[in-house]
Amino acid sequence: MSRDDAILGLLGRYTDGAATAAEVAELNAAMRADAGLRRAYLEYMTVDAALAAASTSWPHAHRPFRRVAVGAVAAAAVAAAALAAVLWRRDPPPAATPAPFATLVAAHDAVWGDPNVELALNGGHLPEGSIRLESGTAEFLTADGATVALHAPASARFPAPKRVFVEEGRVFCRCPSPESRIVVETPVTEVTDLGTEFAVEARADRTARVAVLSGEVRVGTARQQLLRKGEAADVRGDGLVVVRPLGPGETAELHRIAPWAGGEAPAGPNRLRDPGFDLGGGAAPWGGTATNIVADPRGRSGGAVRVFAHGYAEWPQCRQKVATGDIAGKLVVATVWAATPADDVLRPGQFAMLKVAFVNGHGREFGFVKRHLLNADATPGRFESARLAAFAPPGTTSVQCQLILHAHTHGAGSVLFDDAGLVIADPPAP
Amino acid sequence: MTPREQEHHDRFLRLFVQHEPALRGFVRSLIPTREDTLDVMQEVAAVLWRKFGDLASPADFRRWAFGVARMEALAYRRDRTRDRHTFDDDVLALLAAEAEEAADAAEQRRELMDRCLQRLPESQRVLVASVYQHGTRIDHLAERLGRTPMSLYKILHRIRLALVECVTRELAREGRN
Repeated sequence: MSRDDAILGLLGRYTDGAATAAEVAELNAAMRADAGLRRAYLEYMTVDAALAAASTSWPHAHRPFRRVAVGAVAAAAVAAAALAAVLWRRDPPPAATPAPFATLVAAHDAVWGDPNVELALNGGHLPEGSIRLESGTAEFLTADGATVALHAPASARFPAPKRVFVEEGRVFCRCPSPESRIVVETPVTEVTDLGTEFAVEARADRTARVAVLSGEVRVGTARQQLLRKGEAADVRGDGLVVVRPLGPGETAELHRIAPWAGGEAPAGPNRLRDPGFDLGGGAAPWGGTATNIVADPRGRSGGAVRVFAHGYAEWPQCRQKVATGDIAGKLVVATVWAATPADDVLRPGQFAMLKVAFVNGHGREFGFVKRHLLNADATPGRFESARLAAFAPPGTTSVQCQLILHAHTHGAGSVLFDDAGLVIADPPAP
Repeated sequence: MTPREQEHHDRFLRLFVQHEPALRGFVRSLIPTREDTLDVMQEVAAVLWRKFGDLASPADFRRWAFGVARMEALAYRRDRTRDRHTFDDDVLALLAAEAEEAADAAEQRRELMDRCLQRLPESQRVLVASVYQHGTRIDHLAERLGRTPMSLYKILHRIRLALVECVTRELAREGRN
């Protein structure tokens, strides 16, 4: 049994009033020394108090208890091993943690195959194994600046710098500079970027399709085939590459669903009130986590809102909800500028995020799109902008714009947000 | 009760109901047993109502109520739980301060808890209800089940850990606070 298991077990017995004097003494010493343990204890007690409250509204238990525990033991034992690890992994990693090969920077209605993978990705980490995306899209930025967008259903992994392995599904890649060039592998071939935008689809029948939207790529391993803009290639399991021109319909389709598609921001009124935070951060119409937002004069031109890590809030944020009525199918475009202030810079693992949530008539958030910006490497004081776009799903009656700091369990680190925008427009003509 | 008193009473009730889950969680973290937590909460409610007229602004209710709850919990512990094994005063002081700081985050965790509780398997729900709802002593329950008390403590512990993890996962999924 590890030390963490033992301490967690003690914590459980203390909660149930079953700990001995020696065990409480041990817990006292551990709690005094370990802020992470105190945090875990408070989370644990929040659950305990909620269970006590919730159970009063449950129907009385009539089932014989012998049927209860046997199944629960096995299921709970498996869960506990994994959960204990998650619980104790939540402290910041050592400072020397190397940068991941790629980082999740945007997601659109993403549903992940494994919640632990989702947890890691949202924390700025990259799991070693396969990443399964069940639906939606997810956009990664490699350490060298290439964009790799997964289009669900898809499974992929990043085995090494500048390499992505697509087991199944479609990825879009954009390599804007020579140093950002990457190699995309599939079970039957590999695609070497030569400065371009291209799509690769790995199919279940052990074939692959490559399509080049701009620039050139090289397809194949032993015998390589050059593929230029406007060309596609079907690659068979035996390595045979069949090149053909991309049809206009296929080209239009790829341009339409490529995650960076959208072109210039659509014209239209900014639906946000006080978008420049000149009334004071957190003042109406903006709201959010009141203890973690404050007006700050260091905006791009005048005021800004500062969102800062404080206490143990994981996602401190400033937000504004805009009633839209039925906007199904309309293009929703959000923008914001953000900078980390020199006197409270972002810490490792922290990042800022722009998120738009779609809310239905019952007040329930049922869709979202989000984009990361800024991290601990950002130049203090320099504003960067982020923009995201999505089509409003049917049922949308309001849209919530959220400006978020992922605090990553640190008690310090700030982001200044300024000049937010929310435009709702007709979708561009095909 | 005059209309003015009725309004005063209604205002208190609205604020207390709004903040009661946070207060209960806070008190629970300072008091070693669930039974004692109930006693302290009753006392906290009584004191809050008695002193409600002193509150300058409804916006300060939570901070004020946490202060009252902290005093009541520490007093109860000093007077009533001297013979039990509990945390030292300095550890409790740390916990109280950090629980107040984390109140916003805890509030969101409680919201997400509802979702996680709905996913609790029926078998686990029955066990939790037996312990929490009926206040059954674990050793008596274990005797009825033909199990050791320690095995039941472990199951309860794992259920709570599963809920902690579920809430953490929901937080990550929502990307909100």
